[in-house]
Amino acid sequence: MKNSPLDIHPIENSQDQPLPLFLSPVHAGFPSPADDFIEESINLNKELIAHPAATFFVRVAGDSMVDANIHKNDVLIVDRSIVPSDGKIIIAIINGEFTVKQMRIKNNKTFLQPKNPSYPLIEIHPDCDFQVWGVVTYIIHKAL
Amino acid sequence: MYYALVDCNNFYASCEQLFSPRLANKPLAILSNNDGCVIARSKEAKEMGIPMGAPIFTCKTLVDSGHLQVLSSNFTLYGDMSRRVMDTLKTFGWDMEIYSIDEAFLLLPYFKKDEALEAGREVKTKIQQWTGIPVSVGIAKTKTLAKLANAIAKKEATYQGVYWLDDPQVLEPLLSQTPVEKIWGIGKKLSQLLAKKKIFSAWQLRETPDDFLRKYFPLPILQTAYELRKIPCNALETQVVTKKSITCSRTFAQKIQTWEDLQSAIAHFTSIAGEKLRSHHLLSQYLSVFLAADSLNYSFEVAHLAFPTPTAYTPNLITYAKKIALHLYQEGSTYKKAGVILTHLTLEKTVEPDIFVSPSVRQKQMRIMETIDKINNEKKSRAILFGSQRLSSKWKFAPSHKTSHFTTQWKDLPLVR
Repeated sequence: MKNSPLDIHPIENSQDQPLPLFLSPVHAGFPSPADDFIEESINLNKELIAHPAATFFVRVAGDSMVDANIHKNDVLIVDRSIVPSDGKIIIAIINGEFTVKQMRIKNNKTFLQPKNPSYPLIEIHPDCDFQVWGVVTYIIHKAL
Repeated sequence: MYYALVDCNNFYASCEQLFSPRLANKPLAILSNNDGCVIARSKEAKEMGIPMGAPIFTCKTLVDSGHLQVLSSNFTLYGDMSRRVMDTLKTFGWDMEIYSIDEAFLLLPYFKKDEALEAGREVKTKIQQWTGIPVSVGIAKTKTLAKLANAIAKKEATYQGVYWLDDPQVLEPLLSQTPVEKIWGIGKKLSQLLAKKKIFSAWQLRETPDDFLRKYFPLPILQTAYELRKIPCNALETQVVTKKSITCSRTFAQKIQTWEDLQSAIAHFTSIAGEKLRSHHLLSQYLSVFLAADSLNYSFEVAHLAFPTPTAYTPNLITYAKKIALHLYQEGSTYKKAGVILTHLTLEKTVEPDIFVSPSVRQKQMRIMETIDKINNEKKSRAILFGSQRLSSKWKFAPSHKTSHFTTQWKDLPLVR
């Protein structure tokens, strides 16, 4: 709610995060000097996904965004909770098809900007069959 | 204090349209597990007159001419989308009861009308933004009234999906016009009972004295009357209630006659029921099997078996299920459907050890099942099956038009260009 002084969250019954208690069983010998400094392992889900309920994955099937380092077969992390704005890379629906493009807003006009000289800039007219589906937050590109 | 009922609009169809934008705003029908009949429709399909439960052959001309799209049900997708809708609702922090795959009740504390409506709108906007699923919100003083409010929110476009029902000037005529059958919790049977005592409308039910209701009807009717009087009788069930039974049943793709085919199906259903059992950390002590023979009237035979120790060990469950099925099976009969039901459920941790079974045997069984479940979950398909499951696949059904597991399988991600 808009003016709530406290951010109240219900109890999260999320996945267990294993937290190593001790590096060595302590029945004999001396404890590891690292025991006081243990941290959780890095959890990609936590780092890369801010809003799990609103986050989806899509796979790139074309090359219209290669100059933005988005290549065919890359997987994109898409967050629907983020408000689209000028400069963001978005997944949009145009004429019933999914597309990935950079959103540009200039002088109250919206454009879909490809990042490949072989593709045209698309201007969105009011009567266009256009909808934003989500905002791309990460590009997963396989190196091997 | 208000109750709100949040209900997804045309849920299954909406899930499909989210990942297949070409189907948006078009007549779309979702089919049952064996592609037999319609279990969900898009708004446009409803407007077209396709009834709920329509057998697929009645829609054949519309499908062939391209006026109606049909898809096999994709429960994996619907289940995941439901989780997302509910998780989004949870971010608001209100007490919540998940009522079904696409409905949840909320308790809005200390809100007056405007705050409640504002909350409803925020809920609708956030769920649409985060998950792409459109919902309707009905707000009233009790769950029963919230259900009525939700129906109005859904039907009347003027309210833009959120409707507050607490104005006496609106409520009185509405209750007079609402037949008892349309009230939450009152079905055909109860409404017939009420009709016998000349109670036909929600208003009449509300106005009937308590003594009369107590005397002639089961308790839920009195509770419903209270709810109609704005006195909450159904508390929000915020804790997940322990399951009372677990069922797995399917209609066969082809009618079967041999024992080999039947036991394969029974073994498969038992295995699935076992998985569900373990996923809830439960054990069962009573198993029922039912068989539906292919006859003109809808008849089935059922038999049960109680076992000495509660268990979730699939090999044992399959042995029991096959025993029952063999007892029911008659050579020469044709079967069209079967099912396995596990009851007398107890939590794993509350079970007392059996003095005749060594604890190490039980532990070993649990470890075996844990390992199998883990492998099957990782592979996301039944990589490990039990012997009898593989005997035959005649009863298995291959859905003809199922969409992919867009949100749960890495290989099935939606494609973007």
